[in-house]
Amino acid sequence: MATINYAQKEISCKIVYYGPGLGGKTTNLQYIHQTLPAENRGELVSLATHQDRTLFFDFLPMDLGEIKGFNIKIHLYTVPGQVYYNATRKLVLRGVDGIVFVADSQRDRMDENIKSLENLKENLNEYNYNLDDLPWVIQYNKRDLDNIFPIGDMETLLNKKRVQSYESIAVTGKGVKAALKAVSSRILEKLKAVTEEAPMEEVALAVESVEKETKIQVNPMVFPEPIAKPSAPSMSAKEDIGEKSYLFSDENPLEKILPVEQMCSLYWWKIQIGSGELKLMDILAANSRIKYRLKGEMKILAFFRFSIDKKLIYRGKRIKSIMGEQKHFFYLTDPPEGRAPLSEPFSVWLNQIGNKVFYLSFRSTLGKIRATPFGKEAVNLEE
Amino acid sequence: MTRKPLVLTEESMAKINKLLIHLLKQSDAKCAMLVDQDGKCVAKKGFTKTIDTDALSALIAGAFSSTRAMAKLVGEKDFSVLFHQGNKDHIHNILVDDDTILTVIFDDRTTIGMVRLYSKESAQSLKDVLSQIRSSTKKDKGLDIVQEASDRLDDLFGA
Repeated sequence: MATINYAQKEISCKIVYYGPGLGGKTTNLQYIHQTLPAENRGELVSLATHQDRTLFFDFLPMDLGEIKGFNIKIHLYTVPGQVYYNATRKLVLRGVDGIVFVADSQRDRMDENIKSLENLKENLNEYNYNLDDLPWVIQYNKRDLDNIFPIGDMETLLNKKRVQSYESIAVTGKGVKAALKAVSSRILEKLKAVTEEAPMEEVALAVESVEKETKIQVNPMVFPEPIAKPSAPSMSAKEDIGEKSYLFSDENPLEKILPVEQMCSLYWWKIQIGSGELKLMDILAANSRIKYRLKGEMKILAFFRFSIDKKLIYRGKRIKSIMGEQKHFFYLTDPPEGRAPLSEPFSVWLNQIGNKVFYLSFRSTLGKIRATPFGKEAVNLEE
Repeated sequence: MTRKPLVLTEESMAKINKLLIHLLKQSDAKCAMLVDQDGKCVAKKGFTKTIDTDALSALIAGAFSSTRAMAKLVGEKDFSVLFHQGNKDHIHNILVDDDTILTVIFDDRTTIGMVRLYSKESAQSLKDVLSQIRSSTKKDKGLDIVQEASDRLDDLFGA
């Protein structure tokens, strides 16, 4: 069953390569995997026996890229061809949008071709699918071998419905693209005919009614409210959990701005005590909300040097007033688990709009330290 | 095509994503995915960049199809939960409806009990949203991308 995702602008469909054992189904996928550029396909997943016979399925995701604003993804599967794997063959057929039937052209394999085609129809019937209604093509494989049936005989024996058919030599790639292209085109033609979309205002009404019905109820006796953390950034009461998705995901709201390097003026309270160069950058850390790093060296009173190397978490957006002007910032702090409870965070405010500059403040043993873009006065941006 | 395609609008995806994020927040899991039984990832949220979600979705659907077949052999309609325990990371799968699986990947920051509890709650909410999506019956003229897709395949195969 194809999926059209208007939110992510993505269309995906499923093609299954079917046919008798050792007919060339897996070879088709291997050829496609070798030929396509890496950015247009994923890894070939093969669940196979020690003898490289498909045990459950092979899977290869293809990405055609963007077409008319939609990313087109085609998922290719093969089934195990041997007779005794029928139960698993049936499972792979679920949700199929198109089929490439890979027939073995060798004379002594024709019985297996016919049985496999009958088996395909039976398995589709179990899902209430009809092969005549599905986009499918036939690939007459192994045309390079001796002792093969002529194409006319293959057509007579296997292609009674006169679907599109292609001669192929899967090991070299001949006919592989043509068959894939044909079945993909037929799937997309059908998609054009059956696409459904509810008008947006009707969807909004449907969502509103679902919202009323699907509030997630949690028994407060079992899960008491968590203790409020004073160091947590202040959030608008209307802010939705969806806007905090960056805390629980790989999303990087600052990736288009960073890295930012700047000369800073350093202040103790409002007294300038030094300067230095700082760099705010991404860390490519997987599975972590700690995504940023501030690093650099400051010179105090022309004699003393101290280094800053802090890992930071993105906390959200803030609007602060500087010299009477409202400015929009991205707010980052050090992770709370790295400092004492209730202690003041190491804070960085990165300008959202306009110049790529940032401000920072933290509390040291000597008191409040602030850094601003070089030459600017100390400002109090703290929560 | 004997089955109409699953059409996901921006509103319905926003609803699904909101439920997945809520699940992640409550359960402290690493990521959550909604996988359909055909093997496609319908939605995903959380730390997913290091995971091949296409392959994982296909394998999860395959595993669930297998367990469904096993269930029938022992007289059950379905096994609604499938749990894989690893050394560091674990995967909890729960059937949302006949066609969809909610998959949650978590580590030792949380417990299987928390994940199971919130997955069950989220599955019920997701089931309601998905039934609304599937019952939509309006039609429009659809997308015509056949020629461009065909040309793109020619380019990719170097024809």
